[in-house]
Amino acid sequence: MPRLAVDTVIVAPGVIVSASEYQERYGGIDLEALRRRMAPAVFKAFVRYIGSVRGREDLDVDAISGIPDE
Amino acid sequence: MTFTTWQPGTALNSPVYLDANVLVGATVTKHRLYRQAVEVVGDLLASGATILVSLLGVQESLWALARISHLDLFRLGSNTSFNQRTYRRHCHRIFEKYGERMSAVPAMLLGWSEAGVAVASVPKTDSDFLAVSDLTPRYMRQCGLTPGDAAHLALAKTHARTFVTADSDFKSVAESGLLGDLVVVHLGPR
Repeated sequence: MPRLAVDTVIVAPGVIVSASEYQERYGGIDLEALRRRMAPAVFKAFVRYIGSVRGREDLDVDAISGIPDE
Repeated sequence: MTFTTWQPGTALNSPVYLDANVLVGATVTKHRLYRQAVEVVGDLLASGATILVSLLGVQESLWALARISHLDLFRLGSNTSFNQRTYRRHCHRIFEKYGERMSAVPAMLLGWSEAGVAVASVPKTDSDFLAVSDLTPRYMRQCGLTPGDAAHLALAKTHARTFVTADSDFKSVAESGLLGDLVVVHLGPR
């Protein structure tokens, strides 16, 4: 991925994140392979929204994804 | 085999119904299923699959994001209890500080759709609605599922070929043979 400055990464046109955010959201994911399989607009929408909310390591997404008790 | 744990290369036959925990799983970072949820979403978008979602899934996603926001707002531990009364008490502050976050899942679905991804809501028709309504209590009784889980399963069974979920409660249901050709793809330890 091209870098704008020491700690900035252009993930897709208009999707620019810091190096630490890049690692948190996209680290370990083969974005280049996915980019080759997607239309540019779809790839941009993919990287723009995944991981847009900072979570926690001990979060159980199944347990919290439901309508809570009254 | 109607229940399988996701790994890259797992077939995701279209149309694919996404449970709320998958929508939340791909939106929120750091948790143990984040990578898998992103891999699934990436594969679906790359393959051109039709992605099915429901208002129930969006609603449950909003509760998840409200719960996370409540934890962050007061710097609470992840296992802190949260109920509708808690939400009502802190709703204004949650939206004041985390309003953009609260729209993350709806914005994601809208963004996918605007980019040309086939995103469809279910039930699609009145007859579909009636079929799902009829099937939901049957799954509650036969499988011991909660109303929400039974509704997700009925929506998937009625409209999809693949149901992606992080809920392991569906394993015994899938293995019981009740689901016919529907394949349940589970996000969890491989």
